[in-house]
Amino acid sequence: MIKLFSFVLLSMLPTALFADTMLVIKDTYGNPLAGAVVSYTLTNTLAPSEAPQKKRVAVMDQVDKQFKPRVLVIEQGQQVSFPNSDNIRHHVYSFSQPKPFEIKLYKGKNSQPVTFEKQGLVVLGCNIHDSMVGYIYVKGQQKTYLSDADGKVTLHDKPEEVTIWHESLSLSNSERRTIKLTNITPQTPYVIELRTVTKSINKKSSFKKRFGDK
Amino acid sequence: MVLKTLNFQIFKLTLGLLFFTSLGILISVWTNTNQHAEKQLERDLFIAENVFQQLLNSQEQQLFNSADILTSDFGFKQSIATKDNATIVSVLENHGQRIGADLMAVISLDNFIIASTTQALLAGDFFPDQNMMNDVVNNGGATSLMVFNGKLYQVIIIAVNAPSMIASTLLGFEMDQALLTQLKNITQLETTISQYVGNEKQFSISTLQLPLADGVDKGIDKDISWFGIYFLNDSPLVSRQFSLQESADNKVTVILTEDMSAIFNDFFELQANISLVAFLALLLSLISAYFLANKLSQPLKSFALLASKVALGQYQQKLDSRIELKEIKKLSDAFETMQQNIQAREGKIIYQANHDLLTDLKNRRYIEQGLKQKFVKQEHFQAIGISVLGFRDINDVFGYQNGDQCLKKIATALTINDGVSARLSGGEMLWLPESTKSIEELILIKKFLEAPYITDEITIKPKLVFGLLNCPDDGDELALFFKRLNIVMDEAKLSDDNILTFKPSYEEKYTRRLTIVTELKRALSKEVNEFSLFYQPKLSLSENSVTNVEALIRWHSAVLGFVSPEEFITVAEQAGIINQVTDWVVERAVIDAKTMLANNVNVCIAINLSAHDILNEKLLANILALLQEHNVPKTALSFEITESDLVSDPDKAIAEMQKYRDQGFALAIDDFGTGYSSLEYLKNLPVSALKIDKSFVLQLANEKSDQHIVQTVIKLAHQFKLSIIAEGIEDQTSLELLQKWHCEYAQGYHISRPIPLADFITWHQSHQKHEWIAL
Repeated sequence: MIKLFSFVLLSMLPTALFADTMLVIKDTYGNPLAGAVVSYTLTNTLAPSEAPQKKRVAVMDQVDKQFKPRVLVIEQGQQVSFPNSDNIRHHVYSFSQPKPFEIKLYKGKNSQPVTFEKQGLVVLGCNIHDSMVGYIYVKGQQKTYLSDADGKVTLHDKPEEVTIWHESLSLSNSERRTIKLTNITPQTPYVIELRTVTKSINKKSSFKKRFGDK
Repeated sequence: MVLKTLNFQIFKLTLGLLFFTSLGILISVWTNTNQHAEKQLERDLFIAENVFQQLLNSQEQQLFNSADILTSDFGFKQSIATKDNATIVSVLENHGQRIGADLMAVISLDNFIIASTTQALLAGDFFPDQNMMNDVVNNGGATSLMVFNGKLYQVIIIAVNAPSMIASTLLGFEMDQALLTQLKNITQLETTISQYVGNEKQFSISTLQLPLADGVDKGIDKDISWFGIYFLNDSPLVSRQFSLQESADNKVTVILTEDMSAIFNDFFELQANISLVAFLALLLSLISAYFLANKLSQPLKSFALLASKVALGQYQQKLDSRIELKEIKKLSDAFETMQQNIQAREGKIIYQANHDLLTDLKNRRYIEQGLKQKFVKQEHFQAIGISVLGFRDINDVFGYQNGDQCLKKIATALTINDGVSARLSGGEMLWLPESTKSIEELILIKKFLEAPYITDEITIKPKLVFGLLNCPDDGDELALFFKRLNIVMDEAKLSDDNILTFKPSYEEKYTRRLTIVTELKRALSKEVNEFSLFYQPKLSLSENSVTNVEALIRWHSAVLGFVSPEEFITVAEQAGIINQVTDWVVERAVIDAKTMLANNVNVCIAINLSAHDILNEKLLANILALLQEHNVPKTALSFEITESDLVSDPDKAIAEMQKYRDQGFALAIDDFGTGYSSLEYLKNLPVSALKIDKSFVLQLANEKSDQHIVQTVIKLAHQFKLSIIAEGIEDQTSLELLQKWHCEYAQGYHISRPIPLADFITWHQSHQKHEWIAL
């Protein structure tokens, strides 16, 4: 996924060389926010350079009881396959409005890819494994980038404002924040700090411990 | 008297002891029980709190388990995610029924109640506890006690993750009476749960009835007191409070209440038992105190009685043998001993009162009593007075100890005989024999009594005299008896008869003797002039003149008339007043000598001296002083001493006589030939003349034997260079004979009788030239 993105970005490089915006996204404690989806709309957007190409099937794998990648950005209408590289069963589901679904994934049995027709955020969980969380960001018309492990993202444009989604921004996963970009210095990463909430998935185990869970 | 006091003392003691012991026990029990009750209470409450917590914890666990299962259910998650309210409610109800939960609800992320199975929480309402929801978000879950619709619930809320939190599920158990009753059954304590918002009590349920339940707050941490509960009507409920939940607007407290009456009931029973025991013990002690006191007082009473009898002189009492107490027995023994001792002492005193201690004979007092008795009965009895001759002298010579022992020996020998004997004084004893003893018997007895007293150092040979009285003739009452006894004893001492029976003449003699002594003393006191000195001339045969006179005392008593010198001189010597007589004689003689000298009569006055006089050391000095005083030469006096008088202490007599000689006085031995002196000491006698006793001279003219004696004596005297004075010349023949034999001096009626001074002076002057011997 990231490779694809990088390729896309690099291909745009000549034209957008002096039009890059480097962003670094962190939370208020200074921790980099990886997997942040940055999207913006350009007023003078070219007609989507990505003309309706034949959309490839994106892959959301299950490796070591985790979704891989954690955050997947796809195009509206794109398909996503769930290959299940683990040797255990997973029961992937989502109740998210864009695409509520569930698939029982068995080892070896290839499952049908799932098409995501609506744009929006789809939160994935595994019914068997409570700690498996993944996100599929179905983008619309906006230009969308994903921050890397260091929270860095390079835009090939100079938008005035960006809308950022991150799993930590809200409990409901629906919140996206719009940040105005001001005083951008070229070649210098622009740091965006976002307030985050603590999610309960990891914390539930501590509550459970009170009741004698080993 | 004794009984009451002792009884009271013992009673007081017992009562006091019991009372204080019981009191002590009761107080001790009281405090201990209080402590015990408190500890009990503490424990009960502590345990109850733990049980309570445990119960709540287990319920919580149950709630959690159920919630956990519920929130993990895919269908449930799906129904929430799809907002399928009907399904949600049905699932809630189903689960709720499984575990018997009273509250089941789902709450949205925005704190709204999405679904609920009860009226307590209504769908669409805002969940009231924001903080709790925050906890759920932050920690995955939360528990609390909460009041909804006037009921208290134990509540758990767990996050529903699909996969991130989409909602929370609430489960709750109502904390109702049933729960409290269950708790109460385990803990046996009344339980009250209350909830406070701020300081206001919003909710309370209790196992206690309502009025009590309200008051239970006051009983928190109250000090319990058995006394207070039973006597002051304090509430018997004691409570402890602990919090289940502490937040300011949702405080839940539990009050556990214990009814102390149960504990104190036991205590009360214990106290009642102790009191009962104490009371019974008191009763018992009263009774035993009574008997004990009796046991003590009875013997004491009898002792008191015994003592009073002893005071009256009865020593023979037997003490009660029924004695059980050691101390009383001791007292009894002591009493017995005392009685015996008193008796012994009294006996001793009586004995001493009646006996002479040295000799063990009776004493005067006793025998007087005996005599009185005999006189009253007019008994005929013989009384024998026994005297040790010269007892004073024995003491002086041999010492008092020896004298006493000797007397003791005599007394012991005396008591062998029948009758009763007493020591009157000194060496005087009185024996009253049972039967009259004859003189012969008495001689034997006397001899026996006179057995010598012999020790290693000395031998005493006592001489006794017996004086007999036959009563009642010789005396029928005490004064007379003892007077006559004295008389007969005196007589016996004076006479040669050692055993003398009283004769009335003795009394006369005695009386006369006494009178003489009295009158002599009076006469000597110079107030009266009853004495006079007569002078009998001594013719010097060689010189045919009277150069010497013998002074002879004459006494005309006013009372007795003329008393012969033989008589009163003897009496004077016996009475010990001879010295005074001699003093008078000497003084008179000196004065008369002066008169003679004044009248030109130059004669030497010869004064008679007795043994007493010679041995009287003061006499010589007296004589010299008188001579000096009256200015009379020593040659005016000479002295005659009776031969027999020298016998008693010859050596001292000689020594004294020598002193007279040294002074220049002439000494003559009077009544020579009648004494028992040895010729031996004629050599030593410091005398210048011997006077032949008149017995040899009176019949000189006719008696050849007398002539031989006188001749011999004259020759003997001349050998010793001594002059002879012959006394008792009655006729001329004798005178001529004596002259022929060269006797120096002659004295007698033939020459002249003794005549008073004035007469003598006249006679002397007229006989100056008288031819006594025809040449």
